[in-house]
Amino acid sequence: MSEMRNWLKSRSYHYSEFRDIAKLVRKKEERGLTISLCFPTLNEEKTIGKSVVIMKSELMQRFPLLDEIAVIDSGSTDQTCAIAAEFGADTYVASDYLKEQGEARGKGENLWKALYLLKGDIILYIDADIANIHPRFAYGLLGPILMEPEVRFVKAFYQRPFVQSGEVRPSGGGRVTEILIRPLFSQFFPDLAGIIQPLSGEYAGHRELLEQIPFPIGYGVETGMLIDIYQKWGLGVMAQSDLAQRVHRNQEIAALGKMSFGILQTFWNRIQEYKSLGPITPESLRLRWIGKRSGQYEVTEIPIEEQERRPIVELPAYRERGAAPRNTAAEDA
Amino acid sequence: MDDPTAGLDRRAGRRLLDELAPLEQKWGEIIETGRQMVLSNLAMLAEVPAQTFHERDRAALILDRYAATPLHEPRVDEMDNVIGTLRGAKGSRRILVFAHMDHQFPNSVNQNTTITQDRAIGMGVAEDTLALATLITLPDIIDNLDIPFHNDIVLVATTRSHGRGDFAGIRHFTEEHNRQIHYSVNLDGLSLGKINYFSLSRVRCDIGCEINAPQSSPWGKITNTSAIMIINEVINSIYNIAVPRQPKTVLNIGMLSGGERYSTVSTRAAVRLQVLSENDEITERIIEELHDRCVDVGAKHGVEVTSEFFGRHFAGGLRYSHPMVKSTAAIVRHLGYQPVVEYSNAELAVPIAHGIPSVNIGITTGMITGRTQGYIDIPPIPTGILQLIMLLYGIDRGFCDE
Repeated sequence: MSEMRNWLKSRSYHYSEFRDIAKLVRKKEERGLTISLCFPTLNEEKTIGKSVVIMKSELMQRFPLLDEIAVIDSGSTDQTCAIAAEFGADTYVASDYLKEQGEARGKGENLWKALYLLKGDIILYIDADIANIHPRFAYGLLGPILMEPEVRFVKAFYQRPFVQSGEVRPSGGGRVTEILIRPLFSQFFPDLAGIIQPLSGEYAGHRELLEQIPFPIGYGVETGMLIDIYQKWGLGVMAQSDLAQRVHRNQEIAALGKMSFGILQTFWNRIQEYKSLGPITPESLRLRWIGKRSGQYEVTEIPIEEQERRPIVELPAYRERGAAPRNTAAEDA
Repeated sequence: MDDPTAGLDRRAGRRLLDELAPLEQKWGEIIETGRQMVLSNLAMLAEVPAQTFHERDRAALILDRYAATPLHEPRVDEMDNVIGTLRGAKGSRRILVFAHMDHQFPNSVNQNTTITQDRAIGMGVAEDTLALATLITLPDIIDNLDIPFHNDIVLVATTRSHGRGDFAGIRHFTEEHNRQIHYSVNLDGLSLGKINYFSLSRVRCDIGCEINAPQSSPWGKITNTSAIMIINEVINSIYNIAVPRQPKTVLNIGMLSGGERYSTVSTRAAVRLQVLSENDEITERIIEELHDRCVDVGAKHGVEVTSEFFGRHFAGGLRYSHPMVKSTAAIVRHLGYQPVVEYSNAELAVPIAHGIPSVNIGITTGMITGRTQGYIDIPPIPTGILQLIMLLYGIDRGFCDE
């Protein structure tokens, strides 16, 4: 647990630490690295234009931080690809590539094929449905990876207000994380409970890591990626970066149910693969919550041990009292 | 049939256009890449709400953007205007380029922008944000164009332009720097081709009636005098004010509010109106009549009917024959648009009142809507920027001097 606490303190960044983009560009050039940005898409015509325009203008034209911007699409039926191409992104339809691997459709498929299609040493993934897209979504993630050579994978976290009836409302997001993921991590991979938003769709990683892990095709891609990187290289290669606020569409509870079920399958596969289904220990009976105190992220542990009573009929006192349930139907007869 | 005035405009601007001819193609190509930067700034500005009187966060963002450009000593003044100067090489004059940063709708309204292949859509995009985005992209565009301007170009993003803000931002700046500004160009998002170069005599008035009595049911009362009925009487009286056709004068009742519940006598009501005229004396006469009629109606009912006047502009500005207007018209025609000349009802009136030769121009085409999202057309934006650069060049090189 102390490793996780230390990691939380030393490897949790804020995007504002990396505002000096010229400095990041110098670092990138010093280290001889190239960076590719991938937007995985499916019918994102409302947001993809702004995403490409901002990233291209700010992080390619003003500062040459990115070497490549690409949209990898799952077969949109709207104008997503045309809009992205208009503003200078390379566009690929995932199903047109690596056909010999069989057909699959999902976000994870796009992320996996990005490794095949894009050229960068570092791959930056950003969801294409962010309403308040800003260059910080890129430089906030690339900062730790460029400035700290031992960091090779960076995950985003943020506040998540959502848009409802044309107005922006305070956070109502993160339900699957708090109800499913954090309890599962607390029980089976306690070190990963320090990751504030394990399901965030924005992360950057070195190709040499990403090319060595499997990619779940669907909802489980984020969870699977975290567990696999942790198991293969440990917590030390990972970091997380606070990107302030991400405005998103709030999902219906039924959609969250589908998502949870997909994630649960990925989780179960990992538990079996890594044989993490050991005996229940005191360590695994603590739910870990992450909070911020005096500007520092801290983990709060809440011991939760579900105790059980045996069937009451097994108690002599119960039987002696003559209070066992009676077959009232038989008595009535 | 050709517009016979087109030849006159072209003739007036020929020297300027001849001088620009060898540069225009190169500029056009560079400005094309500036389109992306304008859209990027537009999208990021829209993320930071700036309702009138609450512009500080947006001012901070603009200052941040200014600081990353070749602008000299960017700063925020007491009114939260953001100011930066592109230093000229040798001239002693200063050209002001300004656009307002505030919007009218509440900050809680979703202001995210959607960018499609040919449009940017969102609240405030057409009316407020595009001009501001162009203003803050201008230092980068001029830097990329590598134009050796002789004179200083002062870029100001102003606050408090809408409603009761009453142009306080540009008023403050102009009062502080009046003698140091020799020309001004005011930017609007819409519409490319328009040239505003004079302002009308204007005043705005808020008329209010408040009855200091507990809310009550109308059923048991002998008289049923309500604030709404009093304001209704004021409106009827206002319509009896003589408003001449010549000089052209318009009295517009723009907003009406009042009442608290279905079931109670209204204790509060208000009407908001604007007077526009070609003649300042007529405006002054109407101001007096409005005030008198409010007092009369209030006295009759034993309540106070208040009339508060603000947003007073005086008629003034350039003539169409002024070289600044002629040059602007020649540029607009040269770029394939029809000049649309009209009065300005906006911030331009402030430098005009200070005697500074000024025009207001648009950057692209599109649609402004009241309560719903407006849009701008993306393809004409580079032409709108080229128009601005050509005009600044013309002012800088003395083509707009009388």
